[in-house]
Amino acid sequence: MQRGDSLNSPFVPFSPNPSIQQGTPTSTPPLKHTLSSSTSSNLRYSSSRKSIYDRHLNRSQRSELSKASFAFLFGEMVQYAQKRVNGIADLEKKLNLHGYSIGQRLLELLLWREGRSAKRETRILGILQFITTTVYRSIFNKPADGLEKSRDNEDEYMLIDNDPMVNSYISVPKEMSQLNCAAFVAGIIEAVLDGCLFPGRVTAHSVPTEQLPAKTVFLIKFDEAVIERESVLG
Amino acid sequence: MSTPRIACIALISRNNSPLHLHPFPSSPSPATLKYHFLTHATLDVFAARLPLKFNGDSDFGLLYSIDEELAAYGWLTNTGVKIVVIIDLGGGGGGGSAAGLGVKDGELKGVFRALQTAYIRLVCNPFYEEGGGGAGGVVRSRRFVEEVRRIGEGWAPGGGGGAGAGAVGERGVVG
Amino acid sequence: MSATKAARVGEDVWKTRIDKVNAELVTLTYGSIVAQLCRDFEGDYLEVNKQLEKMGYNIGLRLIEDFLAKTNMGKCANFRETAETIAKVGFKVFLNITPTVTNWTTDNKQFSLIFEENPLADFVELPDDGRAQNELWYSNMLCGVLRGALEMVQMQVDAHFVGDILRGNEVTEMRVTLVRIIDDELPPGED
Repeated sequence: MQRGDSLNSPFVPFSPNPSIQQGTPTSTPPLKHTLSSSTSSNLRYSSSRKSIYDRHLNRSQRSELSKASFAFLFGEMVQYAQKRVNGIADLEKKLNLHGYSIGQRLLELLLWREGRSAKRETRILGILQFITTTVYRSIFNKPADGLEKSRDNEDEYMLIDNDPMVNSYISVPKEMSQLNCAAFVAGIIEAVLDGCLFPGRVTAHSVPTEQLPAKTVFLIKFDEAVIERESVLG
Repeated sequence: MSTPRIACIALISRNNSPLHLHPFPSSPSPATLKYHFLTHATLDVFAARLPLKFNGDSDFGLLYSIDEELAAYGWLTNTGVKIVVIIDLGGGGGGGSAAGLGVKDGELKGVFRALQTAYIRLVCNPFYEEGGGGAGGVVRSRRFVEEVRRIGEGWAPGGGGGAGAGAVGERGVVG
Repeated sequence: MSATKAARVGEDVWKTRIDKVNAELVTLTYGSIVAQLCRDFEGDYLEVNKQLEKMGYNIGLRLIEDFLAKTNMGKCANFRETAETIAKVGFKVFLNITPTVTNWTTDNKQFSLIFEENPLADFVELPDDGRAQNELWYSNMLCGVLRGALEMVQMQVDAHFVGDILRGNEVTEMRVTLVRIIDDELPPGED
């Protein structure tokens, strides 16, 4: 198996676009207009503008914006996507892709900031804890609510969020009651796992309880090769 | 004999395809092809040393040197991107006594951190897609290419000595 | 309300009444939306501008309620006051920035917002295709937000960018024009 062979090193076939990876069927073609064959650049730069390289990457580290702004943006993202899909599964896929592209970038920023203290996670438990604590805190200001290993399947884990931030803004119409917008968060988690060399699939599932109507389980199913590697490490 | 200088900077994606290779001086020369080969050769060294690097240290230090003339140093990010800096040791070959000493440990840290920062800026651009940039997935962002050039030309050995390493180190790199 | 008072209200509301979230999440979410539109419309940037404006308009229609509830703002006495409120309270509360209000026309019906900072555009470098820098207004959603929000308080405005640092302009500038005061009781038309 091609992916399996290379998994023991960080040199894993990788693409930032999940649409061209196994297991994510939606196809999102790369931007056509970036395929220009010319090497010369026509971009203009403002003379007054400092290059972004002059600005401190840490500038936005603790900077925050209004949650409402995110909610409005997210709402439009869902509405727009909804017009261009067939069915709920397709819509969740779109949200997953948005989350994935955002998650990859958030991961790079997060690891960069962690700098020297960042540890290269090699074990499944380690990477899952990294997500439930560090990643979750940095994005949602809270740790995830739980982490469980599937009893039936060795390659499956469940990350639990009692009240995903993205769901609190979206009132899903009746005919779409199956929709879980946390597919967006699933995409973020998937990107972080892939980025840390633990490829797998992540899906969001609603498991409402009386006290926790928005409770969501993220089902993480690792690629076979990840499980093999884990067993080699003992 | 001249002082060591950066001869080439290369970034390689986690699937081992070249993202960017910048020779110094910038004009294409027969050396460019050589740098491609040398960069490619570092991949085995990265792979071989990785098992020893589970403390998460990104700095792979000296990967190898050739004829006491060129030395390749490496850096691996936690998302698997490899950064290679090839130093021209300034000995002109032939093994003069001062040549081949290379660069002190850690002297390139600032350079690597600056390059990593540039890379992160690059990928955070919402329009960036790996492989979407052109033939072979090579990076086309002028902003990024310019920054790599600036870092490469700005470096000089001895750290605080020049505008070089100092300036590189300060810019958006301090953690 | 004077400019200084508006600034104080904006600071105060931002500090005490706003739930906050990681800024990069917002920045990258906006970026993901714009990139998606550019793909869906295959680089037809004029259409992308339109879509962004439309999304912003939808947001504006709803955002004004949230804004009024959080700020307890009363009615503005005139368009100059409106401008200050938009810049120092509105933008402060939603994006934690305060663009500068300037370049008024003598009839007090047109002004510019100059953005020193724009969190939506952090990290962005427009596609190097020879067109994006001439055609795409990356932050165009903001124009729609203003149009939608002001329509809900009986002001029909036109808002559009006339400069963007991403395009190589010296400043990012939005021009806002009061078209008319909506005095009828008819609900605003859907776009």
